Amino acid sequence: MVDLRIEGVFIRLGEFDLRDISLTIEAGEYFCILGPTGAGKSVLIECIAGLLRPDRGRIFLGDQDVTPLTPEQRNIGYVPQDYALFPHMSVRRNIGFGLRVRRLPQKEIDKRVGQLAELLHIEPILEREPLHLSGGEKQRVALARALAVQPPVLLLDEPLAAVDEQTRDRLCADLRDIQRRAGVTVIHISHNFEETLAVADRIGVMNAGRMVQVGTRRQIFSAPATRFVAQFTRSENILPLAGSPRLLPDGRVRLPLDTGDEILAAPSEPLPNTPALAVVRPEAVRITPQNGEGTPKGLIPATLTRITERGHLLRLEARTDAGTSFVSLELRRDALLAGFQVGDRVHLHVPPEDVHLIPSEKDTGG
Amino acid sequence: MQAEATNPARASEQQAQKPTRSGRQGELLFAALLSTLLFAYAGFILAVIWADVAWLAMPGAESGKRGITKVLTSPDVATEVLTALKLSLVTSFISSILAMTVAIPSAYALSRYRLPFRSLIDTVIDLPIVIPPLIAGISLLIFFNQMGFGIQLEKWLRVVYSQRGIVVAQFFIASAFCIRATKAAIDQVNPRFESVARSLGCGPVRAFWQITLPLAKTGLMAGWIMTWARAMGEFAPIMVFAGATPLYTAVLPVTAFLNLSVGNIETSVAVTVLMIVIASVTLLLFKKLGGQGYLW
Repeated sequence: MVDLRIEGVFIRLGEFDLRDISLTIEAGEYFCILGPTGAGKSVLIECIAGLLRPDRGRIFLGDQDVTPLTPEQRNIGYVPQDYALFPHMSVRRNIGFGLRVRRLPQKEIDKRVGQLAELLHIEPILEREPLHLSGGEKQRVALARALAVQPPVLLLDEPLAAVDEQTRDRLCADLRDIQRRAGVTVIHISHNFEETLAVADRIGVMNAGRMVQVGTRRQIFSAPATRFVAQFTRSENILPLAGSPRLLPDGRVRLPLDTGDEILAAPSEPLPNTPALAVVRPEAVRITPQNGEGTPKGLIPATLTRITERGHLLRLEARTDAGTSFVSLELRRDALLAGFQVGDRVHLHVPPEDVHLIPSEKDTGG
Repeated sequence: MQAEATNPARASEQQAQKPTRSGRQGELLFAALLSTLLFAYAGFILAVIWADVAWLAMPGAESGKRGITKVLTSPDVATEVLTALKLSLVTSFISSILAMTVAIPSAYALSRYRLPFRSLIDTVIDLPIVIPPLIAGISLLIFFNQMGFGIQLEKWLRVVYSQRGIVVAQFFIASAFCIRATKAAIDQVNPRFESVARSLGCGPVRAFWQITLPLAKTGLMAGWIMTWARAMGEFAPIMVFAGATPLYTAVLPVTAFLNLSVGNIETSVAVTVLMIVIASVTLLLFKKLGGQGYLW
């Protein structure tokens, strides 16, 4: 296994620019590139695969500079979104294609195809035509075909875009399992945050041709670097600040919001120089009914303005008296017990340790 | 609820969903009008074709023999028609193969690469389709007789007023159609197949041979058949550029015209029927192979 290093890759394709992407993906890592449609995710992996040649920048596989190499010289596995199984070949011939190109003896090809079929549980469909396979089967065959030539790096372009939600959960687990057993570094593209949370060791978030944040799942989830990342990862409480935070004697900071409200933050990292936004995940905000005995310290009085069903969660929207809107995700069971109704007076609790600050100068992605 | 009931957008939506009798009748009338025109035109085509066959089966005006018998029993006519048929088949086969040889790489380049002056080249390639065939023939004649490079080529190839000229004239026109047809076939092959093949170790040539070509096979075959049919039916440029010498450069359409111009109507119509049969079989084959009919 080798690591993959991308240094300042830039490519212009008509109106679109992929702008100075630099990134290191460790050997054996499962790395997800997350971003909306048109962010440049596919362009980036096509550069890695050698299908597009960057105008500037270099790509290293281990110590080898692969930038000048053609796709066939790179030996990087590539599974496109539609899997692109060769329709004029059986599943067996599809999987063995790369091995035949390498002129391996037939015996060796048969052995390797058999091993991969076993790894991916596709032995019964080896003689079938790709046209008659289900989405899940196609994906497994495409993975087997890419893994057959033992690439050090495997690129998966939106591998779960065409499957339903239930199948997606199962396939996420399968992908991790296959990656571990095949011992391959995986770069997986997705526009679905939940999907990347389920598979990735680390996530790189892209927007408008830029890599806006790279970090662990935890970092992307709770410490978005820009307004865009916060929005894309559904941190629904993105609150503009009205002035500088005030440091309190206990180490916490008081944040004046542009509506006039104030919230507390207990940042675990040093404060950014010019914080502009406070971000709180909706899972962190708690809403409790008011019992008419004033507002306890640390809580903010508010009125429930909207209740939306989200499966086993309820999305509650509440507006403070000063006009700040907060979103909270509560377990449906808890919310039903509390008997929330639109118009109810409630208390908001915004845990200071869950408040994350985004500096203004970095806020360019959104 | 009150807000919903008074919402004008919602009210008009509800109105639109309600089927009305006059609306349904209007739709039927419109469909009937379109279908009538379609059937009328198809009927007109069939009537014109039938007229050829029926006329040929009628008793001959001069000899009293039935037209078809006259044609079949006259050795001179049979020789002329058979020579023209053979010449048409051979030249159109050669020119369509030459056209495919040029068209497949050209169409692939047009389909896959970001070429400089792409739209200009694309337009130039369509020119032989829109230039009147007679004008194409005259232009070929000028090129090979008057232009320096053309004269050199003519010295080497000897194409003007020769059987080779038939191939050149057919090739000039049919290649444009051929590129359009082969491009349609190649466009239908997802370039991702090649990308994956490349990632699996295939060079560009091998990816083209092992992936794109087999996947475009039926479309290419259909394109070749239509190119051949087009070459087979070419008339004006051949007449101008290769000449109209019976038993030498007179292909089937030229033979039909020559006979018509000297009053041998039966021979002319016999050739016409023969060509209609060939064209019909070609079209059936083309459709069977799933060719892209919209190109023509």
